[in-house]
Amino acid sequence: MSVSDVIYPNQPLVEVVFEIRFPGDVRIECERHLFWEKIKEDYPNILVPRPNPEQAVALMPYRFRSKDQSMTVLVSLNTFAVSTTVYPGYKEFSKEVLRLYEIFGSLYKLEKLNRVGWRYVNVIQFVRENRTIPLSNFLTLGFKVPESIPEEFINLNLVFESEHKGASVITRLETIESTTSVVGSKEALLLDFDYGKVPSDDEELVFPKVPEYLDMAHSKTRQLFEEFITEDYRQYLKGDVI
Amino acid sequence: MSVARDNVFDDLYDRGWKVVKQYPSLRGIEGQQEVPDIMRVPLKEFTSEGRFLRSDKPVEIIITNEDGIFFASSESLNIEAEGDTISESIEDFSQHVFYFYSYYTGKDASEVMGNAIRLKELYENHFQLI
Repeated sequence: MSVSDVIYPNQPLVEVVFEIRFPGDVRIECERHLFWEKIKEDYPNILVPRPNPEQAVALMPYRFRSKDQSMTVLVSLNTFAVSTTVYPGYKEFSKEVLRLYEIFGSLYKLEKLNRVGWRYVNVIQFVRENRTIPLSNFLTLGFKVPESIPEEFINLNLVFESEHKGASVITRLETIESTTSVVGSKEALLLDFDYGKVPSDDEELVFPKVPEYLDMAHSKTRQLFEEFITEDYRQYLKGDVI
Repeated sequence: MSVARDNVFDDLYDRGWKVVKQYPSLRGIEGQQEVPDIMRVPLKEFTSEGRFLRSDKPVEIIITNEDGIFFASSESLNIEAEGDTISESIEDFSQHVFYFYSYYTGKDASEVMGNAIRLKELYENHFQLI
């Protein structure tokens, strides 16, 4: 079993998303019902897009949600995505993604893709030490700051996009707090990886290769997560605790 | 955040600059990510009155809030601490850890029985003053 197959009992994942984007096809919008009819037994709840003055309604996805509300399939004329808030591990999740992808592909004839994406949203709960975030207890990430700035941060809000062999990853790290808590907020680090691959001069993205892209996106993101966390935190995730 | 910050950005935008936007993958849930009501945090170092105690495994502390009081507890260590803030509940928790560490490591094996045997072994095998 490789590290990418390990399911941590104390995993901080709160949402995992796989998506593809493609040139718009009005059939998908006009015949959305064909897809839903094939999945509605598992995804009976329909969430329609809310009006947003900054976005065309046709580009906003319909959301088909599972009975237990944990899985969502998002469909618009140029997007197909599957999201889960209860991640069952890659093996189970990819199996469901590929089942839905097969159904989608059997109804709408898609060829070229504009983007493949994989999102890995983690919420790492922490308590402050001397009023600062004990970042090094959880993450290997370091900052080069001038000597006059202590490397003990009160708050964090950091986003960077990096290149990874034909793909890019947007990494977001920020402190979040509970909006419902009373005195002394509950706090966490939001660690959000957003892997994206777009066509290049050397490689176009095509619909039949989605299973390959899915594997690749997951492997890269999981590798990044593993490299981001400390051994101590990994020990906690594994459930090796007192 | 400085009150002037937004205006500074407005001036920059007026001069023809714009933020480089990233295009994130769609998500299935709307809005901000919430911190769960019950927090579970790992802690390996405990401090009280200038002393430090370290465990070789993370202690999972469960933090809850009832009627404005924060409770920090560990079933394994048989500790329930409290405070008006999370920090205070953790401070109280640390004091409990120090107390029980001293108590159990100071006892002879013949003096403990039942759950106390488990706790004595736990403090002796997994905790160390640093």
